[in-house]
Amino acid sequence: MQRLLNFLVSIRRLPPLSELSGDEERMLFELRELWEQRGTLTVADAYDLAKGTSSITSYRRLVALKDKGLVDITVMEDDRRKRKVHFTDTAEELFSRLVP
Amino acid sequence: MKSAFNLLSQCSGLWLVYIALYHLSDVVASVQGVEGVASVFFLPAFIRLLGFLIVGYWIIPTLFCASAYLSMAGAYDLGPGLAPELIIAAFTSVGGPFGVFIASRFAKLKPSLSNLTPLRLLCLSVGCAAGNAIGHYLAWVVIGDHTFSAVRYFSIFFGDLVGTWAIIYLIKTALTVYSRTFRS
Repeated sequence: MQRLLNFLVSIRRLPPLSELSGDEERMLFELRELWEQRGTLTVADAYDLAKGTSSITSYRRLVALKDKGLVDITVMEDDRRKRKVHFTDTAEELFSRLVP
Repeated sequence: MKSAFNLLSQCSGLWLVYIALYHLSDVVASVQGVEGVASVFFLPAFIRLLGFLIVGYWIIPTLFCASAYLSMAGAYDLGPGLAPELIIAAFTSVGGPFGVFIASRFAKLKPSLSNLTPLRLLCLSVGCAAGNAIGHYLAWVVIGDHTFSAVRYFSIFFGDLVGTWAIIYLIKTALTVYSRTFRS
């Protein structure tokens, strides 16, 4: 069953045919993987994800995910220079549908 | 016992979907449209790829049973007698999955498929199509036809690739529509 789910996740990452562009979709799933490893995400993590892509492009993709209601960006209480990335309920539901 | 039952139900499901996709392919583009043996749009090729990734080598007897059934039912017919059809069924049942196996080693795919990226999926589908085309060629050599037809084998390779990706994007579209439905 796990193999089938991983197969479907791989198909879900293919470009594009959805509201999200292929790059946005890829970023969403890569952020999720990173979150599963670390338990927390910052905007800087999103910059590091796309190799060979500028920080501005990565930030634009992150903002696009925010505009499409999949992530929230909040300023951290203890260090206001840092901003945390959270998945919205919509994104959580999307992930739970793909990998229950 | 439970895992044996699971495996049997998975293989039965794949067998059934293979046959259904075969008939669908025949409606869309004749499965024997190129030189009477190949098609430029072969949807069941997806099952060779998916089957090897899900049930491993058990996909080989599953594919053979599906191809044998289609031959006996007259859906795949090369002429009088069943021998040529069964030889082709035997070779192509091994060729596609073996191609996926080689490609998965080349792409360093984990058994859990946790590192299956779109690029690796592309690599596997190319391996599957190439393996099937080679299997076809070997089958024809065994049957006694030593002539090499580039059009025939390219059609098999191209048809498998197009058919596989048509189903993959059909699944992707279904997943997108499904997630959009619950979002709205």
